[in-house]
Amino acid sequence: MENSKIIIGYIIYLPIVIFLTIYVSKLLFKNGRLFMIDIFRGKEDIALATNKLFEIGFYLINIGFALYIMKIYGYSSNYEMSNQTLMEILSKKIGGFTIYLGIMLFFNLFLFFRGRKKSRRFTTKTTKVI
Amino acid sequence: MNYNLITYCIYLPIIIFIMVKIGWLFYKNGEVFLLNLFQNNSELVKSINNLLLIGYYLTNIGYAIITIAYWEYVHSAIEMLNSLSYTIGKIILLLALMHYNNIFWLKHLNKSKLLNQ
Repeated sequence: MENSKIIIGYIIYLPIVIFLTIYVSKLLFKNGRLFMIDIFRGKEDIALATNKLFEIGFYLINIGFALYIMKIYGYSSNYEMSNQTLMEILSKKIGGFTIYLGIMLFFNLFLFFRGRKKSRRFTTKTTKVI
Repeated sequence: MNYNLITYCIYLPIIIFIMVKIGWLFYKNGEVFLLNLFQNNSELVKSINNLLLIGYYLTNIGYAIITIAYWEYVHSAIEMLNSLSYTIGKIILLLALMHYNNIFWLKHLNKSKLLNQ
């Protein structure tokens, strides 16, 4: 089979990336539930629904990005690839994706904090008016 | 198996062990500071702490993995040792730098909170 190393690379890459995305988003939104309830001031049904919607968005963005960067460039189909090259290419892709995922996680955390601060300021203002 | 592959197989367990251990230590000891910052709201602090730990793992282990892609070509055992020590040392130094940065921010935030009260 010509160029089976690239296919092996894909077979290693895809499960790692998808598992990582699912794990991280499960964790993020399990912990984000509290923030959401805080932001919506205890209206639990809206908070949980928003949380679910954000989770779906997170899945879509990250798995989409992972598939988008999957293609291994620059190797013609009859080139015999060594194990070392395969490992280096995979490390670049998986490491890059992991850093991207970490940055996305921090970005979501930042959004949570911002929402919490905003809703808190709003509450104090309304209580002052009342 | 050429020397590069052996280097990677030594490098990855060492660096992942160091990062997981250090992250766990920070997770344990940083909780007190967060509790102080968030008025002892322990449930919220727990979830923030978890998220920070996961973010730390993702970015740092991602960086550790990505260095493999830019590894120099290794011809002998001595070169292997040299490049291993150089890369691991570099990553540990970076971790130390980030750690002191974090301590500085914790101190700063605690102080500004005290001033606000």
